[in-house]
Amino acid sequence: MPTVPCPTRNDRPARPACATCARVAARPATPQARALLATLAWAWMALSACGNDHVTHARVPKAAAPAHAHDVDPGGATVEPPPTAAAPVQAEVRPTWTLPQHWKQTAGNGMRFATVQPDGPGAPDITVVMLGGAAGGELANVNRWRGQVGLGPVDDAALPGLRTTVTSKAGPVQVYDFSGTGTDAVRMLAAIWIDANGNSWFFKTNAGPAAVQAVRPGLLTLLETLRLE
Amino acid sequence: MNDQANKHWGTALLDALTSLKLAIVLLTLLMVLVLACTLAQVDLGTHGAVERYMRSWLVWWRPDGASWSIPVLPGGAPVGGLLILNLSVAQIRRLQLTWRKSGLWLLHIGLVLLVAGEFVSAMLQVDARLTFEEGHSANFVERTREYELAVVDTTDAAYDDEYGVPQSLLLAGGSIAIAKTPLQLKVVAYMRNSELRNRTDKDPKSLATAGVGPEIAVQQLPPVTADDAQDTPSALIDVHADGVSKGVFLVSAGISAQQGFSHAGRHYRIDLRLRREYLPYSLTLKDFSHDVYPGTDIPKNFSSLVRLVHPGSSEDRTVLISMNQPLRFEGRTFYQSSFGKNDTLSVLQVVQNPGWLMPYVSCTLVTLGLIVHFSFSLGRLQRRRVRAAAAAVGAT
Repeated sequence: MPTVPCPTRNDRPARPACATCARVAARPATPQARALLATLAWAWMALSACGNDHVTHARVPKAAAPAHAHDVDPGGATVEPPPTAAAPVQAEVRPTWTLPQHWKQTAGNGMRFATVQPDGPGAPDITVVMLGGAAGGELANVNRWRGQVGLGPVDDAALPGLRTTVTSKAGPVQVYDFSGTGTDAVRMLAAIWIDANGNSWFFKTNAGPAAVQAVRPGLLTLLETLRLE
Repeated sequence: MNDQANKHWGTALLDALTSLKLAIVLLTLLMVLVLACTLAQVDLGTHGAVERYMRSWLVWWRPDGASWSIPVLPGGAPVGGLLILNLSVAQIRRLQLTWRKSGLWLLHIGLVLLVAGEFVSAMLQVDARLTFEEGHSANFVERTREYELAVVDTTDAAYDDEYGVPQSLLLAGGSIAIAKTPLQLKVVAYMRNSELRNRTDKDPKSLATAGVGPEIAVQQLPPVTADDAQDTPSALIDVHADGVSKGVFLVSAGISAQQGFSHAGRHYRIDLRLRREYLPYSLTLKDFSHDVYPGTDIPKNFSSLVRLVHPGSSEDRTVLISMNQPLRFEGRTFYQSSFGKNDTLSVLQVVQNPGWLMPYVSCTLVTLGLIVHFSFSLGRLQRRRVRAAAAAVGAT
């Protein structure tokens, strides 16, 4: 007997035209099979209804703005996770430092965490910027700074000879001091500190060689006092 | 035609579904998955391995360096689902509903509940955390592995209107309208994980045109899976208000700077952050204790003394949350998780799992089932011995 192709869903007649479909449709499902299919359908619908992929809205009083997840002691012990433990806490780290006498500081805007204003006429500002993760890595940033003062790139092997390491309570800070050449040379004094979460903190100033030299001792002292709040 | 050929299709389906062979195949697959999942934890971490092997429909394999992958095993979801069906339907079809078989009934129901409990956890469990300092209150939790794009209307002096676009919608891309606002967000790009750095002249021009984005170069990275690592997602969002472009913003979990825009007298902040859920109640940290054994620095106990205030039910009480004594309240469990800031800040892990009781119920049923089943067996054995003894006496 020739078989008839089964029509598509859109133009399906009341009874199946193909022999296979007709044979299957002619057999009534057992109560067990019906119960089974009904259970499957119910479970699928119940689980599908649990989706929460929609834009949420909450009205939050400004005065009651709650605390954020930061300042967890990265060196502190972590309590044993509960039986249904999820990811470990990746707490935000906020450093602080002691300003040299007569230096001032303002809260940052944009990318800046803070701006430090050294004392003295014409003293260049020191910017403090935090970027999540390695931010390109130490070598890439060093070469970027070198490029900004007109120096050529270096490789990894050269880094130890170019940096000064300042030891602070928050960990080691790598300081680089590059001077450009020429009469209008720019000097770049930059430091990089990696916090406990792997984020990169940059302390940077650039100006004429004499101006940068004037703020250098103060900046190194500031970096020595770097600690977690 | 023989009887087999005429077999009812429903019966044939049930036969296949309830066969012992299928049960053995499924149990073998489950063992393979458990072994592979355990080994994979070395590279993927617990969360990554469980997601890949146990909470998936298929286990995919990608050769080193290849851009394609192929499925090599069914994941835990279909294996577990079929096992539940196999056990339950076989139980109903084959096992007699008699007192003598009641132990086996309890045993099987317990096992099915155990597997079903994992399904419920996989689908519905939400892990979050709550962080607060002594003297401060918190009324929201943050999910530990999910992010959201937060658009906050900060115009009103008394409150903020926070709109959260979940990561899943950002991944889907396209345009997203924020209801009850004139805002329309177009997802230009979304990166699950990324690295940010200061942009140099050598970098291509940034796609971002507003906020701090033009100053930053962003590079996409593969998502991390290790337990002690966390992604830094980033997104480029083209913001429109009443059809007027406000620019393309680069938002990222790696950017702490506040970015925003104004429109029609209203001010908005835009940020990519861990997904928040606000609670109808608040917790205030009254005191955090970090006890050590006398004369040592060895931790003995960590606890948070918390004031719980629920305006809706006029509930106001003080609760002590310690390492082994979580607070269970309105479907959430608050565990003591971490601390910081010289012992003045506490971090609670918050787990919401509607099926948290299922493993307990399952173990209880399995234990009861074993006791009942072996009690009947012991009774039968005892009666057999008595009959054998009586027969022996009669024979002598």
